[in-house]
Amino acid sequence: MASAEIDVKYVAHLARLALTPDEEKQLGTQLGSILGYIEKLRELDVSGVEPTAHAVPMVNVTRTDEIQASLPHEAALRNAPRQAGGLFIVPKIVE
Amino acid sequence: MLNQLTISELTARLARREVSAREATQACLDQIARVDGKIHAFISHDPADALAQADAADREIVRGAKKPLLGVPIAIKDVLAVKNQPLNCASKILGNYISPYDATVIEKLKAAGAIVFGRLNMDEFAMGSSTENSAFGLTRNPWDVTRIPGGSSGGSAAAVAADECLASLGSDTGGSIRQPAALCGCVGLKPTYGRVSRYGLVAFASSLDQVGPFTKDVRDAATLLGVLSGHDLRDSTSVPQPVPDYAAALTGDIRGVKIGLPKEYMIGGLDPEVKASVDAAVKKFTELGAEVVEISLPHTDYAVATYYIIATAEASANLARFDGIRYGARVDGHDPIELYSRTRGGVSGRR
Repeated sequence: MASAEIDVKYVAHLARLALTPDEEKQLGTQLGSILGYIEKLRELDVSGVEPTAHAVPMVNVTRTDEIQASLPHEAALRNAPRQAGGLFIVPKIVE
Repeated sequence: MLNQLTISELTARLARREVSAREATQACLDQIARVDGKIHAFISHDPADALAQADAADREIVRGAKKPLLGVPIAIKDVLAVKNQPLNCASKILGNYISPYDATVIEKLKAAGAIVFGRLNMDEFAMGSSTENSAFGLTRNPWDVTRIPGGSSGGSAAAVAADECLASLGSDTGGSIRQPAALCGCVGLKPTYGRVSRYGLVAFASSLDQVGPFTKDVRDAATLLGVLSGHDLRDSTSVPQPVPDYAAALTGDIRGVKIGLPKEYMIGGLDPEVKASVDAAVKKFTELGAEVVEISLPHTDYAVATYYIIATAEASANLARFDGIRYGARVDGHDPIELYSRTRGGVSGRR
């Protein structure tokens, strides 16, 4: 089975995932073999095949614009790692 | 032993007042105490809450209430939201998360009178086929504890097979109900996409995820599917179509039913014992008057490779929300990116 080269450090950065050097090595091997495995799809010509998103095609699913019950404020904040004054505390994004 | 009954057997005995929901629930709790140390199907369960629900069901039975699952103890995979109960997806990243609401399928179970209890073990975020990839330890197959129960809904399958509950719920993206049900010898059903609402199911790969039942026989699967099915405005992929009476369709008469047998499934590597079982089923169905026809699913050989692209891409988008901001564990960093990386690297996938 072909093994594809993959930049694990770059992919881990995109996924915002801190890895140890051992994990980088292990995941690099595993991701490479998965990519090698899915290479077999190149054998197929799917240019004339319509994509399928749902077994029962549905379009423009909407509901009437009416006020409905929603999660109470305290319930929505209940699992926040940090909160104050009824708000989520998040890290500073803009200096 | 009441925990060994099927749903239809228990509801009949409850309706005749021969037994109580409390006795049935206590029988399940006793069985958990007896065997779950070896099997570890449950991550956690709350006996007092289950018994309180049972007492409420008994009061309804006395008042003459008629509901399809009244007094039936049903356990839940740790991927569905049950109000005021923990939800971890067998991961450390959700920390001490407590669900603030019920999933639609849980609302439906409760409305049908079920006793909803327990958090069943699974592969982390439903990614796996063995229930060895859980932050809370692995689940074992009740038939032989040296073997895996399958996965990702391994806890759901093992709990039903070991009579720790009468039925359970699981979720299936790429086999996560069907495969563990097969490995544990119970009935598992992945409903057609759109049949059952996913509101309150933690998403893995949204174009494939479905919630479904594990039961001890096919009749119970039909009963449970009837309760779970139906249109839900809170899941835009759910189908606005009427729900047939599945249990009423179980007449025992299958004459004239046509059953397809994909020839691509009968390939090298198939265990002779499995092949013999399939052949025996074909023979039985034919004897009962069904027509078994060989069919071809020519893309079978490409299914898993295609799945690996779709499932991982959708998982990447769906799991982006587990970043330490809104809920669960948080590991601080100098900037948001370091916070995300440390939170994910520090707790997801850890044991």
